[in-house]
Order: sequence, then structure tokens, then C-alpha cells
Amino acid sequence: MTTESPPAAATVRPPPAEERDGSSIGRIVVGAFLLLLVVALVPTLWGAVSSMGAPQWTEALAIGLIFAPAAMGIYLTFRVLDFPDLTVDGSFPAGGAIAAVLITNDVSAWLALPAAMLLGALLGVVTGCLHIYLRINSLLASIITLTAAFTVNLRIQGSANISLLNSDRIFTPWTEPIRDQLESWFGSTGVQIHRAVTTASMTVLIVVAVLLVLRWFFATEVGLGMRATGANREMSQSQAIDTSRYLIGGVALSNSLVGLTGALFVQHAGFADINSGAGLIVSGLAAVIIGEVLFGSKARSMLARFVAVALGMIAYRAAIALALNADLRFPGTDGFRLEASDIKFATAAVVVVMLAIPRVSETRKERARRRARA
Amino acid sequence: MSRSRAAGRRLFASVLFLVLVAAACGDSDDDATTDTTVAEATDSTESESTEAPDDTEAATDTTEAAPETTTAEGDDATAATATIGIVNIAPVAALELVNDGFTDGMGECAAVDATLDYRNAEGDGSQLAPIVAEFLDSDVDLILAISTPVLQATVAANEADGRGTPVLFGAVTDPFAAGAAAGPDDKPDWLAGWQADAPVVGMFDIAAEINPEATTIGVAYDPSLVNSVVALAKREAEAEARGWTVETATIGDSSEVGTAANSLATRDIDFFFVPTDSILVNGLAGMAQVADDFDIPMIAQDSGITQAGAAIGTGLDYYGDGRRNADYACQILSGQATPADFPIQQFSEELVAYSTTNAAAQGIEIPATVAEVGTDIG
Repeated sequence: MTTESPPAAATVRPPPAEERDGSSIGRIVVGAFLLLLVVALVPTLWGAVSSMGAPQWTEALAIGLIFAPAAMGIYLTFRVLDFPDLTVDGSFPAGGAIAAVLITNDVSAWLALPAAMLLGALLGVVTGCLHIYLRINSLLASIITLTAAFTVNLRIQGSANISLLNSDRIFTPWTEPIRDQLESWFGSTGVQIHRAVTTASMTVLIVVAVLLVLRWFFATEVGLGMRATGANREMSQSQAIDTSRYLIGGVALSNSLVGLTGALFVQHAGFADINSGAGLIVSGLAAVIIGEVLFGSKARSMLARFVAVALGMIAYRAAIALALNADLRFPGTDGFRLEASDIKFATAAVVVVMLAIPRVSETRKERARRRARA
Repeated sequence: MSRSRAAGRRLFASVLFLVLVAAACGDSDDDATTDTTVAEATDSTESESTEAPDDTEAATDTTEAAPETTTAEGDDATAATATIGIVNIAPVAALELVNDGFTDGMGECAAVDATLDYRNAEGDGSQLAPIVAEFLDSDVDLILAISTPVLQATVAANEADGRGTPVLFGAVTDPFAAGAAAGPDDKPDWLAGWQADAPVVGMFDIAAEINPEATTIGVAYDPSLVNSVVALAKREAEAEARGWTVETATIGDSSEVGTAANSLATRDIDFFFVPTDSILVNGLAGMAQVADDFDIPMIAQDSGITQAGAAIGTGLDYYGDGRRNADYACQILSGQATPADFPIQQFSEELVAYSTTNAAAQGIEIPATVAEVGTDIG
């Protein structure tokens, strides 16, 4: 392996002109193939869209709104703080666990939300401290917290699965009146969508409140310090900004938002499961990227960016619901059918492609610059 | 200074190590209580070895500690004494039930004063061969193998051993496919037991009785669980025979159950069929809400799933499986029969449970045939 590395390194040199032309032909071929694929998929996609009933759209909206705070939290660590944080996979079930316990013990469904945020923040503080004071790599630090969080969550819940079907959740007092109203308007469809409508209409208020708080926060000195910390840590330190504290605070804030999502989710879904939340980081990243691409990559204000991310999460959830309905049979294949479980691969691929695009365009610009110089 | 610090560190490390050891030991005792992923353990080797380790949860009320020794007292003073080794693959509710039934059955066997030695491999298939070897070394009079992989390990070890220690088995879906026997009578002289093939027909019959016009069922399942895939294939075959269609939605996480159920519900299904899929069962509350809103009844493959939201659950009676094996063991150990006298038969006793509350929410009434044989959990 090591003996082969010098020739391998040689090929890294910028390719000669002929090869570049070849690559443009290759690009046309790939582009044509993708176009064909899209054309072939349009009917099935359209079929999926038209077969999606109102219950699925409303459910996607409700779930998207529930996960919007988590997406904002992931945006905060990933983009604002530049601190890749996997703790979210643990703070989501943690928020759900504490909420479920508070609700089943008849404490208060509303109190469950701040409690979940507090627990999430605590996990974020642990990750931040592991990184800052013990100098543990950020990813490793968050994986360590995530691992420990499993035990903590299990201890909080007492059992791996808690059903909340017969407990009073924040949506419970509104479910009945909304169902009756919707039933009088839409008949049985109204009954089918009433739960999602209740969740969506109440969650949207919570999301707006979160957005306003975030908007206020990022205009304060602390919030600005946090943004500066993420933008350039050395520079911030030289400006007498206590970057360690802001980093820990930022990760805590991010995870408190994820904890809030966990608490909202168990109240909507009707159960808390210790094993849920795996892969939340990737779906959150997908939402961040979709939000940036679709709803404003150039947005200047923090509020606009967080709104874009929230919308990105709703779009992502709608895409998942669509995929669940899609019967994508590729032309020429008999058995191959896209399943809902393929979502994970699709999500990962989307994230990779979207993360790669800026890099690729950078490389091309660099190449063009070098050519201009030559 | 630095030496004392080093000593302190060493002390700290050893304390930490001891705590870890203690935690590990405590674990192996606690783990015997596991989640409600019932019949799946009977379906295949993979399902168990993938299932059991990540189900470190205490969801059932079986409080069985392994290893455990129970003495079943016989009233008869002339009772023969015997040692029985019981091997279980994983702390799964259905498998524990076989042991419970067997233990109770042996307690009522007056002719034999049996000492039961129960071992649980805690989901680790590589533990089976050593456990069986230990039993054979200590000259147990009979081995009860619970689940397919245990049966396979026991048959292999017993064939190699050559002494012909009687072997019984429980919670085995297909002993023939497992290679333990070639046919009901074409088997080793020392082997006997019951085939526990969960009937798919029962769920369809119940569905047809509730709604004679039903033609479509919806199944949500985790495609990474082998037993769920196998169960789905059986269900699809039965549906095809009846001219029904099966709509499917896959889930990868219990948080996706609600979305999957929603998707199924919009495809005009008449029933939700709930397999013993641990991921699905963990998120079943999500499906129960959809079933409630759409008035689609949920019929489950195991009676225990009614607790999680299904209207009706029908599955094999694993406790009875254990009792029947105890009956065999009683006759064999008291010298009245040999394993060769018992051809492998299929047992079909089902344990049916229903929930009138869930049924009402899902817009059905419990049919009389179900109410007759089942227990109402409320």
C-alpha cells in the first residue's frame, strides 16, 4: 500500500486538457441519464402525490412541525457553532422519556416541555464540557454522551416503552372539540385528520414562540458572541469572548430544542420508546440542507434562516410520506421497488450530494482560476 | 506527591473495574426480563440472535433469574429422582412461558421427583454448545430445548455424545427444516416434542368473520427482522389463496409507526394485521391512534399484543407447550414410555385475548367465536 502511494499521488495533479473535455462529455452522459430517470419517475411520483390523502399531508405537517425545533437545534450546532454534535440522538429520547414519566404520573403535560428542554440542555452541557475541558474530539464527545444517555433514559423511563394513550397530553383537551368541528365540516375525513390538525395547530404556536426567542437571543450580546465563536474561534478569543462558555451554552441550547421535540413527539405519537431517535442527526441535517436550498440559502437574518430550516423539516417529512406512498418501479426492472426503508439511504445520499456541491463548485472555480493564470 | 497520585489513580481504576464487573454480573440477572417480542424467537436463528441483545429492556412481568434451580416435589415416596436440564436461548416472554408451563407440569408429576436446572443463553448463540455440553457431562436425565437454535445445538451435541439422553423441545416452528428430524416418526429415538407452527389462518378467519366483505389487509413491519419477513411471506401466501391483497409499509424505527399506519390507512385497508415485530410493537400506540381515527381494527399475531392496542390477539399457547412437554418428561423419566413412542405432532391450541375497549375504538364488536375462547383484557 505505502509503496504504491507515490504514483497514486502523481495522478492527483490537474488533468490535462483532453481529459477535461472527456469529463464534459461524461457530464452530458450523466446529465442525460438523470434526465431520463426523472422523466421515467414523473408518472410514479405524480401517482404518489395524487394518492396521498389529506390525512397523510396533515400528518406530515404535524410531524414536520414537531421536528422543526430539533432541526433548528441541529442547524445551531452544525452551521452556527460549526460543532458537529451527535448528542441529539440521545437528547430526543431523553426529552421523550422525561415527558412520558411526568405525564403518566399526572404531573403536567405542559411542565413536560421545559423539563425535557432542561434534560436536553444538560446532555448538551456534558458534551460541551467533555470537548472543552477534556479536549475530547467533538464527535467522540457527543457519542460518549449519547451512549451514556441511553442508560439515563432507561432509568428515567423505568421500562423501554411507555404508552401515553390513556394519559392527559397537551393536545388532549383540544382533540375532542377539534374532532367534532372537523367532522361537521368534512365528515369522516375530518375524524381522520383531527389528531394531526390538533397537533399541527398547537405545535405551530410553540414553534413560533421558539423562533421569536431565538431571534431575540441571537441579537443579544451573548447570542452574538455565540455566533462569533462559531464563525472564528481564534478571532473571537482575541476579542476577549469566552468561547468555551459560548460553545457549551450553544450545544446546550441546541439539545434543549431537541429535547423539546422529543417531548412533543411522545405526546403526539402516544408512546415513548427508548430506542427511537436513531438517525435524527441525519434527518435533521437533511432538513437543514433542504431548508437552505429551497427556502433561502442567502438569508441574512437569523430568523429567516431558522424559518427556512423549520420549513425544510416539513418538506423532508412530506417527502418521506410521499416515498411511503410511492410505488416506484423502475422501467425494465421487475422486482425492484423503492421501499420506505430506502429513505435512510436516500437521505444520506441527499446530504452527501448537498454537502458536496459547494466543494465541487469551489474546486471548479479554483481550476478556472489556475487556468486563467496559466 | 506523584507516587501518591499514581496510587490514587490505580485505586480509582480498580474501583471502576469492580463497579463494571458488578454491573455486568447484575446485568446477566436482570436481563432475564425482556420485552414482549413473543413468537418471533421460534421462527429462525437470526431473529433471536439479532433480537435479544438489543432488547435489554424490562417490559414483561416474568421475573425469572438464570440460572435457577427448582425442585418439583413429588408426593409419592417411591418417586424416581431425576435431573432435567432446560436450555433457553433468550429471555423472551413466549420462551419463558414454555419453561413456566414445564415447571408447573413437572410439579404435578407425582411419579418423578425432578430437579430442574434452567439456563438462559441471554441471546448469545455461542453459549448454547457449552451449556449443553455441561448438562451432558453432569449426566442429566433429560434435556428440554426451548427454541430452534437450542434444539439444533442439543441434537448436534447429543448425537456426538452417543448415550442417547432424552431430548424434548418446545417453541420450535419447524423441527424438520431445522434438521432435527426427517419426519414425524423418522427421528432419533431419543427425541420428542411438539411443533409450534403459528397458524396464519386464524387471523384471516377472524377478519372474515368480523367483515365478510374484507379483501385488503395492511401490514407494517421492520424488514431487518427475519421473523417479520417470514411471517409476511406466510401472510401473503394465505391472502393470495383467499383472493385478498396485502398492503405493506416498512418501518425502521418505532417513531415511524404512526406515519406508516397513516400511509396504510389511506390505501383502503380493511384490517391491520400486527406481526410479532418488536419494532412495530414498541410503537404500536402510534398505529392504535390511526386505527381509532380510521375505524380500522387491529388483529395481532399474539395474545399479548392486545395490551399494546390491538383489538384481538391470537397466538400459540406456549405455556401449554411447556405442560405437554412436562407430560412427556413425566412418562419418560418414570419409565412408562420412551421418546420413540411420541411422534412429532403439531399443536394448534391458541391463546386468544381481546380488548372490548380497543375493539369499540376501532369500530367493531368482538365476534362470539372469539369471545367464547378468548379472555377479555378490558
